[in-house]
Amino acid sequence: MLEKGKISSFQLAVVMYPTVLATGFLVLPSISAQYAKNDFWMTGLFALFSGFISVCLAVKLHQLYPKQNLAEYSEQILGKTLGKILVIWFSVHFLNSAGLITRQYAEFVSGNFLFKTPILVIISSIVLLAAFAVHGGAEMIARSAMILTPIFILPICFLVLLIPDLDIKNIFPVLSHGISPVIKGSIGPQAWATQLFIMSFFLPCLKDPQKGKKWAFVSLGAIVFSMVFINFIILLLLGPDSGNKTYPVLTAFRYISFADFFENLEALLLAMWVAGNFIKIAVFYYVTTLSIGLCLNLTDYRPIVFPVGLLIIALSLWGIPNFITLGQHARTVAPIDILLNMLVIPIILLVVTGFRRATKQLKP
Amino acid sequence: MKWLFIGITLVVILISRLEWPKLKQKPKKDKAAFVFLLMLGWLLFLFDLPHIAGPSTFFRTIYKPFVALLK
Repeated sequence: MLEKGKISSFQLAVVMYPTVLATGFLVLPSISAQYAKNDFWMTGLFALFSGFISVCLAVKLHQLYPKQNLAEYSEQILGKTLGKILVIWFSVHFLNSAGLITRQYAEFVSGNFLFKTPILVIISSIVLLAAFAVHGGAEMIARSAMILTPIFILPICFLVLLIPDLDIKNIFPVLSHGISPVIKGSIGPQAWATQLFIMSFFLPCLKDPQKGKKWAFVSLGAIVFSMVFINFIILLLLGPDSGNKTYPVLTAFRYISFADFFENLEALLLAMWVAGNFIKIAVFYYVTTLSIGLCLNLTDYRPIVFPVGLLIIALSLWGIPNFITLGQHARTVAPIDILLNMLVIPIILLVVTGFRRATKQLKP
Repeated sequence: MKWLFIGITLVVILISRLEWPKLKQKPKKDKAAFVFLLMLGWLLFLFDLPHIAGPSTFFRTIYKPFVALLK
């Protein structure tokens, strides 16, 4: 095992919350509003379902192969060659995801706040920061999440200030186009929720593994609640216009004007979301480094942290000429990519394990 | 582009300077992996990255049939 640090299951929950929602808050409301129109507040509820499955999968696989992470047990389940191919596939997936997340964060910052800063500066500064966190290992990420996640959650509380401006009429008519647009719109939130499966990389370093499942569900509950709450506020504030906004939550924040004192809160929002995105990037960076390390059978993953960071910077630029391409990718390709890797492949792994154990029992 | 590549070259030199002393007592495999990943990252920046096809273009192509289902 490459990782020697120990984290508690509460810390796991605190790490997973921004891991799902950091880019979730940026892109999900507008993705789901484009499909589901005025019913998009329901899409978060569907995320509960797929998030539940992926947490169960991660915990079940960890029970069957204790003290091992995804990259280690996939070799045991599928055999040496196929397992290795799968680990390489996962490494590429995580590397690419880390690049895309970094790019999403950088586009958000440069498109709304730091207009004249070159995007490479924003990307490399956050990747450098994340590299130091990853160098410290799982423990370092968990501890920084303990400090930064409360800061990340805080903006949600500020949205309550919008209550006087909300218009309840916007949610009617409910389900006027049937349930299918809502299901199509929920593919984004569902995919983001299945990213909870990444906890399979943290389960082996838990101090109290028996509580891991409980805290993962707490995290899932908090994630779904935040998704539904944010979607509700945006729908009631912006109405049918929500799908046209690039960052609806940012628009909602610009709208806040309370007691002539709470105004221009978007700067505050940026400061807080940098914290959340830092955790998300660090987690994906860590997972990438760990799976590459396991793939190449290294004795320690720390030396390759900085080279992998360089690759993440390259991948955040590679094949993405502009924001439009990135937006299209996040809207259509990314949900399918994530669902395949974080839901379908783990299900296949579990089925193969079950099949193997069953045939073993049949043999005398 | 030229300046970007020079900058990345400096970063690569810095990374290898910082990490090499720690890598010295590690097995050969670790050193090879470190050099391979670092060189890969360095060489990638030779290209005009945003405008050539990359992994995300690849994923866009292979998931096309699924994307069509969503519409």
